[in-house]
Parts: sequence; C-alpha cells; structure tokens
Amino acid sequence: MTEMVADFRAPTTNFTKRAGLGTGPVPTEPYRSAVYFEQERDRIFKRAWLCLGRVERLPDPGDYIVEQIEPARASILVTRTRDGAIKAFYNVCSHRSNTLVLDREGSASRFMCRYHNWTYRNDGALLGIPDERNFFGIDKQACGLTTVAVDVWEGWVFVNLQRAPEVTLAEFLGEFGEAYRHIPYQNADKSILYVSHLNANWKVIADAFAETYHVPAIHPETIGATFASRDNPFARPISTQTWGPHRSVSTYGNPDYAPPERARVERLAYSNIATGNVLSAAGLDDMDLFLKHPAINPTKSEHWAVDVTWIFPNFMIDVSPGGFWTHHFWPISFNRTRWEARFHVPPAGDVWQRLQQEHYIARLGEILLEDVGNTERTQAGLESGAKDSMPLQDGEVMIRHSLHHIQKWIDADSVREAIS
Amino acid sequence: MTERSLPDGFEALEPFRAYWGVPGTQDRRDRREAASMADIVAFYEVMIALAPAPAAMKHLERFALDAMPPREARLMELVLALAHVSMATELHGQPRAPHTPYPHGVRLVQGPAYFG
Repeated sequence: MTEMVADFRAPTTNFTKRAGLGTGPVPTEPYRSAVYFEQERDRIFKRAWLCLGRVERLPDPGDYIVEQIEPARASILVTRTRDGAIKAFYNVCSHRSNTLVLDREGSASRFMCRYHNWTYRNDGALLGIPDERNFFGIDKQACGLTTVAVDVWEGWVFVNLQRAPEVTLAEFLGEFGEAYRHIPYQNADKSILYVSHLNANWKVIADAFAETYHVPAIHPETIGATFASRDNPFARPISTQTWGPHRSVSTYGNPDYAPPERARVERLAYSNIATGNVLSAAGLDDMDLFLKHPAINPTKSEHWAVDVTWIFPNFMIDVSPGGFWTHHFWPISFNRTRWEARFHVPPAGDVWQRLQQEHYIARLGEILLEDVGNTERTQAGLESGAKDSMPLQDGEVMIRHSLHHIQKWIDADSVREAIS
Repeated sequence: MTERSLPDGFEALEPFRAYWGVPGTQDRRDRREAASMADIVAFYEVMIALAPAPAAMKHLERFALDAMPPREARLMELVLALAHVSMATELHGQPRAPHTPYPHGVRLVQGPAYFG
C-alpha cells in the first residue's frame, strides 16, 4: 500500500491515490438530476442500513421515537419493549394505512390509531379492533405492525428497509465497524438539535462537511482562524481513512488560536473554562479518551481538531477533543434536504459553563447558516447546467469517495456486490 | 409599588429586558436576527462597554441554574442574549452573517438544559 503523506506542509498529499480513486473531474449530474435521485432512492436508501441516532434516546421500556426517512417515503417507529429489546416498524396502521403515531418521541406501551381506534402493543402486536365482529374473519395475528429490520452498533440504532436485508449491519459496516469500536460517546444522552431545511441536493451539503478546504474562505470570522494557520493556510487535512463505502478525515486545528482582543464576549464566555477547542462545549477531561483511540486521529498529530467520520450514505459522526456531534442529511427531493445537526452538550454545572454553551450554540447557528447560504448558491450553479463536471483536489477526497460509492451502489444488482 | 424585575445594581438594563429577556436559546436567536444593528449595539454597549456583564456573572455565579430566583433568572436571560448579540458585534459587524439567507430554515428545535 502507498505510504500516506500525512503532512500538510508537503508539496502535495496523496490521500486520493491511496484510497484507490481516480483523479479526473467528477460529474455534476448526480447533484441536479431527478432521475439520478430516483436511483439513489431505490438502490441506496431502500437497501443500505441507515443510522437513526443514539440508543440513549430510548432508555426505558415503553420509550419510542419516530423518524422520517423521506427518500424512502417512510415514517419509522422505533420502540423499546418490556423485555428491553429495540424494535422498529413502519408507522402505519394495518387497517387503512393511516399514520399511527403522530408525535416525535415519548413513552407508551401501546399505540392507538386515531382513525378507527385500532390498538397495538409496542412490540407491534395488534391488540384491539373496535367492532371486530363486523369484519370478515379477520386474522388479528397477521395484522400486526409491519416490522423493519433494526440493529444496534456501539449504541447507534440502524434500520434497513429491505424486507429481508441482504447483508447484516455488521457486514455493512465491515472493517469500519471493527475499527470504530469502544469509542466513548460523552454526554450521549444529552443533546441540542439544529434542524435545517435547504434548497440543495443532499450531497451538496454533506460534501460541505467532508472537506475543510472551504473553511478559510466561507467561515473567515466564525471558525476560519481555528481550522487554518500560517503553517496550513488552506486547511489541508492531516490524514484520511477509508473502509469500503465508509470514510473518515482528520482535520487540522490551529493550536495557537485564542479569541481576538475585540471578541470581548467570547473572552468572557471562555474565561473560566479550560477548553481545548472552541467548537466544543465539553471540557479537557474528555479529550484523553479520544486521544488514545487508534482509529481517531490515526497519525496522532498534535495539530488535530476534528475527525469527520462519514458512514455511508448520509450520516456523519464527528469527534473532537471536547466531544462529539452528528449530521444526518435526509434528501426530500433532488434539490431539497432536511439536515439534522445534533451536538452533545451536558447540563451546565454553573452560570459560566451555561454562558459558554450559549456562545457555542449561537456560533454554531452562524456556521450552519453560512453553509446553508453557500450550498444553495452551489445548487443554483449546478442546476444552471453551466458545468458538467467539477475538479476535486486531494483534500476533497471524501467527496470523490462518496460519489464513487453512490455510483457503485446504483450500478450493483445486489448489496453484497455493492459492498464488495 | 411595582416589584423591581432585576437584581439591585442592574437597573440600567431595565429598558432592554422587554426585548432581550426571552426564555429560550432559539428565542434569543430570533430576537438577534430580527434586530437592527443600532438596537444590537445599544444593548451590547450597555452590557459590555459599561461592564455589567462580568459584574452580572459575578452576581449570578452564587446561584444554582436549577434554582435561580426570578430576578436573577431575568438577569441570566440578558447575559445569555449577549452571547447572541456578540455574533453581530464581534464577528460580522452587521446584524447577520454576510451572504446568508434571511428568513431561513435553520432552527434550534432542542436547546440545552436550563434557559434553553
């Protein structure tokens, strides 16, 4: 295998070559084509294992969450049953297919459809049909909720919308699933959630989080000074990893960053807190847990800021010295996306920590907005048809890897072939 | 007699309470995004240039976040609003981030514990 040039000061890096990818321009059609989106819908979102979030959202028997998977036109109900098992179902009544559960999360041992009061236990069994005698020999046992394949890996809940999944979650995750075991997810049960709706293809916004090449340009005031420096003016990554369709990039952090003199509130907010990274809301104590893990910042660079870990197709886990956060990019149409960014933030211990959190969350909102504005402008340019391809540099290898595997899944007649 | 709404010594902030003293983090985002730069700067200057923000923090640090008396809670809301206002004054030099859409579809739908 080619030795990795994991040195942002080298004349060029070699992440793309090392990932076994070509270096030519990539097509723009996947970002603007309704036809291509239909292929993604059928070949990817209805066949791949899809992460729905942390299992800590369902701590006790009776807890449930409802998640929309727009590209599969499905609402999915995930429950924890009396015996502690995690179950998933289409959120659809067996009678006339009305939506069963209308809220987003809660706790209930049974669910009643509002249309005709059909009642189900949270393990999917149909319990009651009003005026059952007037049906025609209905088989209640056959009228339970439609199950969806579900599995949990390292506390992450995944579902698969194939009636009988061709591969297990462990097979889908492959070597990545092994390499990323036993990572401590601090404050996994406490999070803040930004939800954004934007007019762009889901890959345009996902791509924006897969490279830091753009950071000095798009985010000069919010985070530019933390991801680049005189040593690394173009925010080159410090290392990359790929495992089948999954991938990760370790990004550069400016070790000398300090709030500028004019940032008086930022200085106030951070004055009483030891923090290794201005993007993080957690403390330095958590950092060691990440630093020791072989899959995180694998070259153990002292310049490490964040690992962006992109699990195929649409989910990212980001780990930084102070904590972790996630991105879900759910396509609604070829040019409309629901983007969920969840940051894990502990309850503040005092007013100083709470002020720092507010500053952190306010700044996050600004960064997300900068990305939304940027992606919508990109989408407009893509849809104009001006360009049929785009050149990608070595630091943008994750985008190239993503497009390569999306096409591979579309072309593959079986999932096993897609992940081979 | 009307009860004073803020702790003693913070009367100068009273005129700002109606607009900036709102309960949740998304509410504070909304207020900052809808405000003019003149209103933002007026609030920022009273809070920071006249230095009551560090004083407010010193006052508030004696109280637990989950048991703050009403007057202290109102002061805490103003301090938290300052975090949002500082995006305009310290980062952008204008009310909202340059080249970003407004109105827009970016919402904090779940805030942090306490005052979130």
